[in-house]
Amino acid sequence: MESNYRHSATSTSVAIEAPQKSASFQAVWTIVRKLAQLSVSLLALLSVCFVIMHIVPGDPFQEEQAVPQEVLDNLRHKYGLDRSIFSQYVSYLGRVLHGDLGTSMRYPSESVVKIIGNSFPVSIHLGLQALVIAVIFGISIGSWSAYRSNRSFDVTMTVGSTFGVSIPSFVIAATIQLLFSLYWPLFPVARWDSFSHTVLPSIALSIGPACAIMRIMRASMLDTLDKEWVMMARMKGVPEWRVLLVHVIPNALLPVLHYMGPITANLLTGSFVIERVFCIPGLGQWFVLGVMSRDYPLIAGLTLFYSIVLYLVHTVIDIITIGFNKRLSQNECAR
Amino acid sequence: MKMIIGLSILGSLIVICLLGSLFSPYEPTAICLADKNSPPSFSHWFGTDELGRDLLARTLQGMRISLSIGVLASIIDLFLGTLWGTVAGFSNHKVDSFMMRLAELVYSLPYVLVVILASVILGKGLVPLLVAMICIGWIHMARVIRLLVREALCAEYVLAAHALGVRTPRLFFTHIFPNIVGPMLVACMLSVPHAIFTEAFLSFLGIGIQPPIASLGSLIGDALPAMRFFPWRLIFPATFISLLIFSIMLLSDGLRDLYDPKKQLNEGVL
Repeated sequence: MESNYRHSATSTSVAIEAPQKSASFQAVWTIVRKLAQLSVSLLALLSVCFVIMHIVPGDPFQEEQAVPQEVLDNLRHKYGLDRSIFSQYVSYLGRVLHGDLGTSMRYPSESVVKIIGNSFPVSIHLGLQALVIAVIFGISIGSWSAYRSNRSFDVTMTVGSTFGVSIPSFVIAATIQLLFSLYWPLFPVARWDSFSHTVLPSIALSIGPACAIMRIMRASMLDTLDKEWVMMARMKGVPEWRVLLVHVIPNALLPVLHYMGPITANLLTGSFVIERVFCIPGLGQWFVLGVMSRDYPLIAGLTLFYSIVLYLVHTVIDIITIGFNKRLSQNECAR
Repeated sequence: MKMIIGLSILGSLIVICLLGSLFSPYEPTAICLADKNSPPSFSHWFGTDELGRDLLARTLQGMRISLSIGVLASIIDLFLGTLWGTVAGFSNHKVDSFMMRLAELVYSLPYVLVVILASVILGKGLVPLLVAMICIGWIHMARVIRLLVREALCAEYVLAAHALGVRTPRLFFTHIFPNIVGPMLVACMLSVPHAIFTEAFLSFLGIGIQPPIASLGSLIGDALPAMRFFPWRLIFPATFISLLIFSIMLLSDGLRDLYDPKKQLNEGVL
């Protein structure tokens, strides 16, 4: 039983490197390693952003009418464009570390930080709502269809979830919008005001991740139901609900937790199109606008912000995974 | 069963693509303002768009582009990933961890975000999009293949071969490769829908394939503002892209059940 558990833990989550070391030491060590990795990745990302902003041809001060050379020189000097690339890089890093992501080229009145501050709450509201829907439906339907595998419910749900992950999110969004607000006006068509405005976008955003969670949950639950400890519990006469809730589902949840990072990334990129379809003033809209109009400071700032958010999510997931493992291993010892 | 259904849907879609001119005599870019936005009829089976271009011809062109991008991107991914993954898998710990850290730097960012960044640098259009997707996609493949090689290296048959004095190249080609080629193909198949998704996604947002070439994503994006009045412009491309991805997904699911019953490989969709 012990070896079985170890195997599943190493293959699904943070690797347990040295079994002889204490669990808390491992946890701290993993977090430190993750933080180091995070800072290296962020530095690399910053450098990529810097390169993007400098590799592109053109100059922010190229105007249609001729500008006197002195004015141009002054402008260049003011923005530090006359210094060496390296010193520009250092000062860019310094500015970013102080939380200054620059100003949008297309909308000079807005700083990137201000744009993020205004639109991120909308995006996180939408994303969290979709995540909650996806997790609830994905886990409950997935575990039920694994428990009753190969019955009609399971077959329907398996085919349905395969179809659900196959449909691009913009198709889902457009279809839902067409059906439930244009042909059958249950909900407002677009925009972002009251709760009823949030219903359709959240559902549209959550269908793909819900189906993905459902598939993962079903697979890992089927795997767990075959384990010896489940048979053991049943043999001991543990009631069926307790077998499921205590012995099966917590173990089956680990792979789902492992996939939460990619799922969050999926939600994030999905929000680009959902916000476009439903005209929601979120961060995704700004990102797409920035890419369309090649607004480099905006692109760089938003990419950086997105990455930090995702890294935070990853770190939280890792910590939760470690916590899960610890609790499970304590259970293991107690038994 | 899954594979049979998937293969038959995919096969019929490919046949329809190849025989496209039988169904629609129109050029995908031929503009005919006289019958713009006309509903499906006998002359235009899927109707026309706002410039009177035949939607069937455009959908088929979009499908051809989606299919070729998906297949090309994943084959090149597989090739580069095999190279990198095998070298890393066979190297000693230091080289291996260096190669994998290098790959992880990019991999820890969301795929679509990095593809968008790469396409900002490379410009818009079909080839830059493909290059951008390959730049990121091979890393995933390399990770999968390195894992497969590492697992194979731990197996007893490799130890036996090693003990018999088989040299590394022969060890790889005659002992390891035949054992990992199945899961490799599964990983490759799983990355096809991923590539198709990404292309459609970027084209939908207007940063992928550029007009006048039709892509399923851009067709849907163009149909969106007028979908209340001309729903056929949304319905046909949307159905076809969903069917396309669904069939490939079924096929790769079936392949995975065949080769990898423990489901260790990544979910391709995420």
